Amino acid sequence: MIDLLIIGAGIVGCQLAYDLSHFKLSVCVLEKNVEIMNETSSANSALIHAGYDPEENTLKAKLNLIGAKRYPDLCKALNTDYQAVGSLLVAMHEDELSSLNELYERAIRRDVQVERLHRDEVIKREPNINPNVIEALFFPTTAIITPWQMGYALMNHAVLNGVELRRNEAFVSVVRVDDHYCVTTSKGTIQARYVINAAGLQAQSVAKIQNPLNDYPIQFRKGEYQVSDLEDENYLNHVIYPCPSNKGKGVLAVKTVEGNLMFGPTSTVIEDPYNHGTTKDGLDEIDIKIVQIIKPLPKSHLIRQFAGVRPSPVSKDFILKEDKGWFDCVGIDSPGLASAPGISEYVIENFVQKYFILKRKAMVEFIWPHRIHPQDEAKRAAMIEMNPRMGKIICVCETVSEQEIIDAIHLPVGARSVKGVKRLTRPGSGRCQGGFCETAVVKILARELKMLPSEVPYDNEAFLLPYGVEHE
Amino acid sequence: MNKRDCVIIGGGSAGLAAAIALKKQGIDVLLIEREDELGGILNQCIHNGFGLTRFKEELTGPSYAERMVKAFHELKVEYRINATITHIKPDKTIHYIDEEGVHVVQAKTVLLAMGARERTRGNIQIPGDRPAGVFTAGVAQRYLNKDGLLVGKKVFILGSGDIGLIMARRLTLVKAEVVGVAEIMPYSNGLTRNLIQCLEDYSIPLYLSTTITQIKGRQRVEAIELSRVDENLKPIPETAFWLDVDAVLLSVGLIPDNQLSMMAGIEIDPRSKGPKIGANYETSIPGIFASGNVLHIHDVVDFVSEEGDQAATAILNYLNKREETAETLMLSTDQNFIYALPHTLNPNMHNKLKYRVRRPMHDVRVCLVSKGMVVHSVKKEHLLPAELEMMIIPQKVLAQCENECRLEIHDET
Repeated sequence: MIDLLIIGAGIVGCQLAYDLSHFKLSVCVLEKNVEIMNETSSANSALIHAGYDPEENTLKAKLNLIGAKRYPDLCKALNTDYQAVGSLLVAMHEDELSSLNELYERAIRRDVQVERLHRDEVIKREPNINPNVIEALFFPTTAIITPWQMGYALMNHAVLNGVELRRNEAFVSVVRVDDHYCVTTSKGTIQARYVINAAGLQAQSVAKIQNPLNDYPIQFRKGEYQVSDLEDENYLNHVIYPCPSNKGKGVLAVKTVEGNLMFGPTSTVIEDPYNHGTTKDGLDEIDIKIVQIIKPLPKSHLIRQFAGVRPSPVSKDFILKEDKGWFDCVGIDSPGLASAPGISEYVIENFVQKYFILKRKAMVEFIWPHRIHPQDEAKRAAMIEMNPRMGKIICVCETVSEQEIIDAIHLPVGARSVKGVKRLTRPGSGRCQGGFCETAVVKILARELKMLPSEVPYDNEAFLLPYGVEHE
Repeated sequence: MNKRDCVIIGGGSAGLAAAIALKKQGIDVLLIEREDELGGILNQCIHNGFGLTRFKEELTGPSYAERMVKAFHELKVEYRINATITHIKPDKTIHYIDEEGVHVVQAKTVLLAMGARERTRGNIQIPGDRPAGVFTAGVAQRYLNKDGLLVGKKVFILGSGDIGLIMARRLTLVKAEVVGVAEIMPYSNGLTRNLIQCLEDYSIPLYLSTTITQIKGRQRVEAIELSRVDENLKPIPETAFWLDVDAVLLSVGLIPDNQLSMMAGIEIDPRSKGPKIGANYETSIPGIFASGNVLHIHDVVDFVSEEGDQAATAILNYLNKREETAETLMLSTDQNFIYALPHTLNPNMHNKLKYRVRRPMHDVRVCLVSKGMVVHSVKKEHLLPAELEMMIIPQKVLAQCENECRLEIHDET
């Protein structure tokens, strides 16, 4: 019997695992995919919003602020990326000024740093802004992180400190047995005193399996994005938001930690939470909307399109509720990434602490092993001296060596798939999109995980066939 | 600092040819190759049809490479494999990484011979799911021919470029079903011989004026939506139909791989996507030359090697300070051409022009025009975008031109 079972290793599950790993508790995390951080948490704007945006008196408003405050320390402790690049919320028309004013007032009330900038100042700070800009709010605390790196760092720390992670194992059903829950998974059963449902896209249906009366109204919203080549690394200095509308924050221009620009998201209601395909209409919408806020980039600079699905609560606020020793985290859409440390704190205060007297334990630190910066020749030379494979470059676009890939595979919670290697060390993220490195990555994964190349998963499943096998 | 007369970047068919030619003249050459063997992309092209011009016989890719590599080793040319260049500076210092460390070489001359990369799904923006099973044709070829791995059992190929056609045949031979090939243009982009030998001979359908408008599949490609396109290449929604496949191969063009050239500040022609060059293959930075697919995309490897040879001659002249007068002629083209090389002509010698036209044309005259006068012309019965064309402009013709000349297509009728 374990103390706590967390269903789902998205950003909320990872943050909870990390926070709970500081205490004398037995915790297990169930993740149905081969990789953690595989769904909503991996396909979003990668932003730590400053906290002015959510409506008053909502959990979103409260927890976004807590999250935004916690991230700098968390990232410092784990050695993960955190860049407070700041954001500009730009008004392009006179009729947007009232909502600009409203957000300005709200930011002041919430003690979120904000500055009003006139047109000339905006253009000076952001030369590639659409010159039609009339005024902007500058939020210096808006930050960018690398979501999957954050999630893996949190989970690695948790696992090093005693949390059990079960990957590639799905929640199937649950029954209440006396004073605990018996959870059936795709691979067996788990007895847990208490359960936290952080199942993301599945949270609503998992909640309903536990108690059919818990039918939380959720809409699935798809957000599509475009990604540009590293060529445009210095095109923007800030995250650029349009004035928000009732459909959400609108199509943003996001500078990412790795240097690519991201444009998106759209917001389309869909039925199937796993319909995360891009659409012609969605990509066209980004094309049209992005040039309303920034000067256009050549289309040939776009290297990738993707879409993420978020579970949007109809109530427009996170649903955080207990039901007899079972806690649901449902409807964690934007600003879910920014709020995750706040959500975790909330769950611990309002749920875990009700049942346990939390006792701190001695901790093993986990430090995220960054890849060597492509321009850092001195560090590269020193590392090659210790290990020649640091000099064998597999990914030319992003300058990633074989050893860095091997290290990512052998983390306590390491990469187990082509996608995992891509997320943790970048091969496949660059302009060739894996053209030069994918075959090598498959061979490295096979060798390190002691499997055949034809068994290496792309995402959750193997994707190559051995040549010569007879096919039906 | 390590000093070299010439550093060649890339050990494919252009780089090897140049290295051999330069070493034969006693030049101190260092060739740097990022893969674990020399020969470049030829090593995965196990079909035949290579070498007819250079070796006067039909070879497979690996045997073409083998001949080049053998000559290279016989001359004891110095080289590094598994070595990745991180940047080239305008002063011709080259930084590279290998298992021995981080190295800096000061070169007197540099030959860019990095080849090309394939256009990807992201570049052409095919909407839909992003499951496993979408490959560029070259990656699929590499999996199959070098690693013995098959990318699918029921494959569709987008783009009728030569790599796509070759892969259609190759996959059929290993008993994968090739459901069809789609080409967005109303004509094929591959060589005629490949259309016949790779598609027609195996009854693989070619859908012209057709493209993939959606990919479906959760973990693995399950189906694709194809649509016919109108004359502006826009998909016509009413024509959409679905095919069940488990893999999609993209053969939608090659892009000269000029990341290093751009970092060095070399001027790039947006049309050829390679460096702007003079008649001697010299780029906008004196002493840095370019040849092969990094300069423009070739159809036939023999001409890639030939450019390596010619660049080697130019490098030799540069090292021996036997440079001709700086006098040059700017070459421009009318809108019928995708691009033409070189960007500047040398009026003191015969110049070899290379060009690609924008659309198929029949019975036309390719004219070199200077000061409004046709100074040289060649009649062409057929011109195809799929085929790189070449023409020699005699020196005496160029002697009549001043400052600039222009390549135009005139009606033959």
